[in-house]
Amino acid sequence: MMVLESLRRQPAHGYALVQHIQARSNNLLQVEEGSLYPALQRLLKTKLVRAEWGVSATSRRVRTYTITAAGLRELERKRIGFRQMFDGIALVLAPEGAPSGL
Amino acid sequence: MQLLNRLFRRNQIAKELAQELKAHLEEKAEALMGEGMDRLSAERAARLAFGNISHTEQQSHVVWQWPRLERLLADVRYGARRLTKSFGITTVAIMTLALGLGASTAVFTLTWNVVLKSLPVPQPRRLVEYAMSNGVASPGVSGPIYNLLRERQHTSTDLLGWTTDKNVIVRHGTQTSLRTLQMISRNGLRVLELQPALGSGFDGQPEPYFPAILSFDFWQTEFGGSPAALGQTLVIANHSFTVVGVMPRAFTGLTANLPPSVYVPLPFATVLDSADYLSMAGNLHLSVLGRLRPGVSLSAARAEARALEPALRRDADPSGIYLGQFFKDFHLTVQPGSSGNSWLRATYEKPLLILELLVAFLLLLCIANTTLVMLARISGRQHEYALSLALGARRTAIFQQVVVETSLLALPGLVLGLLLGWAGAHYLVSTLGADWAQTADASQFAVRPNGVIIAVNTAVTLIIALSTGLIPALRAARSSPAFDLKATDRAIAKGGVGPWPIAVQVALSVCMVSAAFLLGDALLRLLTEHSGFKLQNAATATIDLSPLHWSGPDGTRAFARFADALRAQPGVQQVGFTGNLPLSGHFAVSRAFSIDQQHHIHSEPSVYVTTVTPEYFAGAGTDLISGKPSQSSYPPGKGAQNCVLNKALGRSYFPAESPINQLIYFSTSGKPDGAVLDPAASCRIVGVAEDSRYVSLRQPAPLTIYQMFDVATNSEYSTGKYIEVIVRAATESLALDAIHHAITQELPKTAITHSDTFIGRAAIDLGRERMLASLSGSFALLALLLTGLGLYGLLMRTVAMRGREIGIRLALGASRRFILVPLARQVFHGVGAGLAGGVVLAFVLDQTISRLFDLHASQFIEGSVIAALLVCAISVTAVVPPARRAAAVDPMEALRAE
Repeated sequence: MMVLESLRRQPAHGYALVQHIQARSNNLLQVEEGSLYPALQRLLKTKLVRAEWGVSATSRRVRTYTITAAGLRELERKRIGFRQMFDGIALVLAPEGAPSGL
Repeated sequence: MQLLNRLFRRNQIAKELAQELKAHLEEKAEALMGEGMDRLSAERAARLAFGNISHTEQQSHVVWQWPRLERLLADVRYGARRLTKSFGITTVAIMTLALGLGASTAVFTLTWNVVLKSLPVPQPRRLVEYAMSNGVASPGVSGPIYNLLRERQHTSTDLLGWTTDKNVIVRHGTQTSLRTLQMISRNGLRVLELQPALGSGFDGQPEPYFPAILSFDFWQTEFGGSPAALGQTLVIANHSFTVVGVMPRAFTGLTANLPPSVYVPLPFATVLDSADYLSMAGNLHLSVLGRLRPGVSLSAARAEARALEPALRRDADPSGIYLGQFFKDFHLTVQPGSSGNSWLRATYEKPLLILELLVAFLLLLCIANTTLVMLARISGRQHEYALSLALGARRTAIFQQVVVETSLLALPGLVLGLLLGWAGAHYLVSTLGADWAQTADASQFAVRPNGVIIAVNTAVTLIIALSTGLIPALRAARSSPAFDLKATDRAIAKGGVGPWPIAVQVALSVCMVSAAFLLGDALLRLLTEHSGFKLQNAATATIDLSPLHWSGPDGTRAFARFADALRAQPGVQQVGFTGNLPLSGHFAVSRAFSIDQQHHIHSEPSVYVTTVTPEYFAGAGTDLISGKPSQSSYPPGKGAQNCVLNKALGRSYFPAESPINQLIYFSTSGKPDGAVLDPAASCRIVGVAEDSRYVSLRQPAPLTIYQMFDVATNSEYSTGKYIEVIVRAATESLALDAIHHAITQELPKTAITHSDTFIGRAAIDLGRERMLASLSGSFALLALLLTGLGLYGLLMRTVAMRGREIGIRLALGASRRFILVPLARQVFHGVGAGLAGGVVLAFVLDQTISRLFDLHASQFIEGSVIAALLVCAISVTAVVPPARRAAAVDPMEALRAE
């Protein structure tokens, strides 16, 4: 979900994605770099993203990933699901007497 | 597109991923260098941060793979590598399966074509066949029965009738050829629901009119496949026929495996054969097929036939002589008719069933043999499987690998087996084809591969692969890592081969040898038992005289000249003419009686009657016990004919006196025996001949009347039909040459329908026994060979695997001569168990074969003893080389080897 959200903001290659997620989370989230690429392959296989070779800002040949329309729909679906889960956990963890909902 | 990518761009995907990961690491390293690290440290830190690169690549590749298929392919590659490493054993295993599958394919190809294949008509399973049958013979129905049945039955839409195919001379323009003719009722194509490929059927053709329908092959070869064939004229037996249609390509006649060239209406049988062919109540020569109405079952048709039969018998034969007496044991039956009628099927159905049984045993033996090979291989890899399991492999994965490896043996075995099988089937057919005097062209019996045969053999192969691989796979998957990893000697790892595969092979070999002995003994008895003939140095021929148009005294003189020319040929000793050659399978029956000197009437309801010249007996080698027919002349004009009886019939008619010069009378229709003594229907006994198996060597000698005729004074062939002659000469080739030279000299226009040596006729008569004896013998030899190879392979492998143990024993002082005794003991336990089980199984098999083939299994004990001795001999032979190898083991080498 985080990969899709990052790509929604702008297309990026693998290393840039890692940097983006860490920066956006204020380094609270450390992406295991090795697990990123199998995830990207799964997204490619399910056509939620597409990839094309190009040249990066540092003149390096890189493969840039871009989210597709299907990826956007999937992102929205996952976002709604995550929100529901988050709200439910918050309700369970809230102290007694606290107002319901956030 | 994605599927294509996954299939064909896998390397490209892997390459791109590697580039991507490399770019990532470089970028990370550059970032770290930007923070002040040196290059080496930055690259190392980048790799550490990334994690296991190989694992990442593998996880990324897995996304694009089909894991199960990849594992299967990996198992195939691994299995192929293992099999090619032990090329000799693999080849033997593949050849074992190929030979078994080859035998199965050959026999099943024959079974399919002869017994199982349906007529190429719509809904062949709706066809039913009517016949008069006594449970042993099912000759057909007579013309009157057919007509009445057709009027009275309601379970079929209609009934078609057809009669025995004839080989006739067919003239078309200036072309003359010998062709097979099928005579079929006019409604034939309608009942079969066939549309002609060209023109029309017989329906709607006005009478008298002689329409003919061509077979598709005949139309192609003789008429070039041209529509102009319609309306053309064929001359058959001096009658002109007009071509009105062409049969569909796939239809090759109603008598399976004997495709006719020309079809004509059924009434033509009264021209080709006799005027009363279709009206005589006792002439059961018509085959009848009906097409069941929708919703009507076979059992309903049978019930109807049973209900109609009494009235049919009464109305078809008012005199009661034929259906009431001669054929009183024959009843109207209704059987599935999807395959049409086939004398081949009637003759070879049971032998083929026996062969299928033997082939099943052979396949079981191949399975046991291959299982033995795989078990031996598995037992040597227990350590490997234990290690795999210890490293996390699943038992199902090991199970799959072993099954795949076994399947890799089965697949080339299938392909090779199919090729061997078709070659074998062609050889069998060419052997059978040469036996068929009835076919104009034996190559018309086409044995072609088809989807059914391939599918059946593929299914058999799959069953073999699964059953062969199942036990070894279970054994491998049950490996115990804790035990097998500790075992240093592969031979004492858990699960040796055990004696049961040896026992199974031995038992099956004993069965097959015993069956071969039974069938070979049956053939030998038929060949050596006294048949009433001397088969050596004689030849026979059937000659078609129709082109000569013989008639009256001129025909008689011409016949006499031919007989003289034949007698004058070099080396000829005797020339006998007959109306029905011995061992032809054809016969005529009649009812006759005698009145002895005590005025007792002796009746025989079913006497075989044939016409012969006096020289026939010397020609056939049938001894005359009393009387001298050659000195009796045929009295011209009306009056008693001369005849010779066979010994059994003479004793029956005149039990207490000599039959010579006595009279016997043929029964008068509607009158009791003895009431009418008509000289014109009598014959004077001028001789008694020994009993001879006139119809077939496998049937007992029938009660026989030989009606005498003399070529010089009376020839019943003067109307110009067929001559059947038997010639005895100094050698068989002289006899055959004499026939051909005499024909060339005196009968140039005629054609020989069939000529053969007398021994050749006997071989034709015993065709199915010969086929059974030769094939069962071959299967038995193969079984013995496979058993020997299996034992040899097992012991050689065991010696190789237990080399260290043997070396230790020898180092500790064991005798070289007896080093293999403990191991051989296990093998012979298997052999012993196999012999015991095999004898029991052989008894059951022999009884089954004897019942199917009506044999007297009196030689079971001898057969079993011979089988046991042969199997023991093979076992001992197989043990010797491994024993010698074990005895030659060098303890120092064995102990050093790991």
